[in-house]
Amino acid sequence: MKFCTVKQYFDDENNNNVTNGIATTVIPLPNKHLKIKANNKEMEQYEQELLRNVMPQELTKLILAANYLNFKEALDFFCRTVANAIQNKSVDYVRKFFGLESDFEPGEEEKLCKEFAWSFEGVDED
Amino acid sequence: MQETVEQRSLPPFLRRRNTNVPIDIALNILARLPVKPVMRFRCVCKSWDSSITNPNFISTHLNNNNNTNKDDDDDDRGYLFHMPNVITRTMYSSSSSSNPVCTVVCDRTFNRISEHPIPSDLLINFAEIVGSFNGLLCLAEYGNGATYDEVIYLWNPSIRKFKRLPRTWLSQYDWDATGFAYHSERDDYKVVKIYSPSSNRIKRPEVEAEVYSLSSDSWTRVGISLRPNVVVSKVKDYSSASFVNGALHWLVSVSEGEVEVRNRKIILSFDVDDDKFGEIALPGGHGLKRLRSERFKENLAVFKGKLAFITFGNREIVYFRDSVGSCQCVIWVMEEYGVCESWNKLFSVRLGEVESFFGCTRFGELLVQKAFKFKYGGSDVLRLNNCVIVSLDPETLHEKDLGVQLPNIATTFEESLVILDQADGLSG
Repeated sequence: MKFCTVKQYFDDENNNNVTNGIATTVIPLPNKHLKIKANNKEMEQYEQELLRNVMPQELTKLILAANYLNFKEALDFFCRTVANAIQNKSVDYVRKFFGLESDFEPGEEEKLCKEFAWSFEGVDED
Repeated sequence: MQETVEQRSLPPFLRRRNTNVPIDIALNILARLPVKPVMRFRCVCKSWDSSITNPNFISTHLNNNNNTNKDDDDDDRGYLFHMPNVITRTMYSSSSSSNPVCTVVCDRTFNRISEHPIPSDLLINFAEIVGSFNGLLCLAEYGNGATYDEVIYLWNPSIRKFKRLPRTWLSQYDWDATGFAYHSERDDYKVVKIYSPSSNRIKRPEVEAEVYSLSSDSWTRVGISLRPNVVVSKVKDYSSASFVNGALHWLVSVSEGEVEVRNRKIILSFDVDDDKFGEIALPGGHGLKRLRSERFKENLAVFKGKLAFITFGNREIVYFRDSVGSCQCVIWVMEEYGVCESWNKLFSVRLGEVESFFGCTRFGELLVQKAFKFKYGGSDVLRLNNCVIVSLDPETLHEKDLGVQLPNIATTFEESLVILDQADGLSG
């Protein structure tokens, strides 16, 4: 199941930096999961290690890779990580992160933000 | 379109110009966030705003939070609420924090307290907190017939949104008790009002009921039909129902046949699935009218997920300057719901004098208000107010002074987005 997709993935593309990055991060996960399945804390530590060198922006690529590979545990893990990373961030930061643009009518966005201005308190500086 | 060198080196699925995370994955991420950032990110773009305010996302977000908190010993769910009444509000407005807040005491150790500002247009004076489900509170004001109006609100403090329920009343009846329930299969919230006749024109004292459903945003009259010739004559004033096993429960008096003398107490139940009332007998000889020689408090509660009947019998012995009170607290638990033989006397303990009972925590601690006895010239600290709120473990008799103001209710609370999809503010 998973292995077919992975093989096809590698067949699609020659070795390059991006694929390597994904390979070192995503692929080892299933094995590790099996080894330390019972122990959540250990898994958490392993996950922290793995992501220490990955920039938040890289995470979107990892998420797309995990999604493409239909790899639920990795997707869960990456989503959790992104959630923690963006929790206190501003709207602008999140837009850049996900590559989105505001499509509100002029004034519409302001009105919305004003409605729940309290949710903007304590946001990290960009 | 010319591909850049960089793009050519990417695997096919990343080579598309739009390498954006699809909306369903974005929602997967958003559903893991606390309420505050979720609300803020409504401003990211239109599709995020409409997705976040969609009932499906609200449910997913709620389920996510429920699952993460399930086994945690240090989970964030609160237990106790204090809603300020109009007198306290005046006090607050003259102090530095001028806005009235609803206080929630959090977690098992009652050490963390969170405060939630009450919206200025949520007009309520003496609020009874009827219940709480999924972060949604039901507030009731019974009114005094003159200055304070009757009103019911559904309020989600974490998103600062409320909904006033449509007005309803029965002429010649007084609204005496309420219940708030959640129907999980239909994802619907219900409020039940119980009325007692106020007019003498009503020959036989018999209570009436109305049920509100959030999904239909309307009230319906519901008849209470128990066994033949049995009618519910009285309900405990201002009581809020205990919700267990998919039903609401109140302590009521019934009269059988034409003979008024045979006034008994039973538990009135309301099943939120079929909207039908039923009855459950009290344990032992508790249905019979009690003699007035002993001050005796009877309460329904939910004890570790089961329906419980808790009584406090106070006996006051007055000596010279010391006033020593004690009471016998008996906790009956219905081990098998609906089966009267399964009433089990779980505890019978002697406590200091108990003034009021607020409910049980999910771990089986009782939340009570105790009268504080003080001694002249003793080493005890002299308290300025004469009552203390404690959590009491009936097994170990260990007490913890909670250091909180007079609470309204003991119930669980969590953050959620519930009613975000409802129309704004006032209704009806």
